[in-house]
Amino acid sequence: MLEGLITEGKLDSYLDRVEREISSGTIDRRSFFKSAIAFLKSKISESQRVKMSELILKIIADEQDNNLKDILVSLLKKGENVIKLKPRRILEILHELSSSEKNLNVPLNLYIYRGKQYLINKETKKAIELFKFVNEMNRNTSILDYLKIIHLKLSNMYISEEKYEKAVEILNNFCKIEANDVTVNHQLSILATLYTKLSRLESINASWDRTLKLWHIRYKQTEDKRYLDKILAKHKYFVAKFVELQKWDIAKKELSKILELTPDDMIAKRAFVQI
Amino acid sequence: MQRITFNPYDVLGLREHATVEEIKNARRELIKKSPHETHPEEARKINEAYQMLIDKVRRSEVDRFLNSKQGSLLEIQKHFLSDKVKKTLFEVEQIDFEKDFTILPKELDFEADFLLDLLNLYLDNKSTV
Repeated sequence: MLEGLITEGKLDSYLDRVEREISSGTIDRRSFFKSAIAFLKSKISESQRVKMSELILKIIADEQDNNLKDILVSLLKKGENVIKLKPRRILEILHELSSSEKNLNVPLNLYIYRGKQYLINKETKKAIELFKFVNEMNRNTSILDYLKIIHLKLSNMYISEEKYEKAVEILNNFCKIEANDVTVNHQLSILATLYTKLSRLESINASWDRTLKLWHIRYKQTEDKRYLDKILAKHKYFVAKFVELQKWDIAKKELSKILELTPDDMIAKRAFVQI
Repeated sequence: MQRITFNPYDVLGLREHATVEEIKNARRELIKKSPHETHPEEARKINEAYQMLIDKVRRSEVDRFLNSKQGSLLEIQKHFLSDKVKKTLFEVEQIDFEKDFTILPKELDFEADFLLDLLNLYLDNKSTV
């Protein structure tokens, strides 16, 4: 009945009616709250908003449910469309509604807040699961950034414990989420280079393929010379290593890549002719 | 035949087709910066490089060596495995691992509509209201 007045656009009549029912003590609270939601979602004037705030204040004065009270008080803060709230309190309320939470469009910043809570409490796995879930729902650079940092941090921890395979596994897990992150791919290439036997140089070389591809893309997009320097450094390093192993053909292939990028490199030019 | 263990052009910072005048000037400038009294090792190497290039016979030996396979391999090991190359290749992006991970804001901005949806959900879940 109350909502009917809103649907018909009789907003002032709705407010008068609610005021009368509150004064007479005949108001049905649930019905009022439901209608208040519809009312606040409608196009209302500032004076209507103020009036509604006064009515909500009256009805919550004796409200026993603290969660409900907090949500309603928060609604009264509404100025523009954004309300500043304590996330801890919202999470507590959501926790009580955990089974229904999926029906709610939980804002991204609240997920990030919860992810950070997990990290502070050293619940890294939970944080990763949460950020992965949010990323699947709404692929977002800041979420990916958090995921990247967590994975790199974990990987560094394993490196410091000399558990290189575990470090690689962690980074590969991140690559399943985002295959084209230049930092993580670079880190994987470095691990392959530093912790694989030189006798497996060809597979070490192959481990740089994706990193190289990403550097080329970055260089093309940004013209940042640092990427060109990195690309050249990769080829130079592997020329020298293949020469060490006397694998002349592969060394020459790497040399030709240097010459494609810097045709005037005298050392590469001479070596290309000589080896 | 002299034994060549380094590229004298590199030491003097010259192109391989540098003129005699350029070789002399390069030596003079470098010795000014690294005189014998304070930089004996560097000065010795500058002078050695100078002698290798100013003497026509020795210079032609240097040029032949640099254009040989052995010379190329020497240069590859020196230049392609230099600390600079390794640093460029293995230097990773600096990441601030503590980047706002340890700070939880006291308040966050919420859309009013989210709060209304939360209220709606709460009412649906709490039959006692």
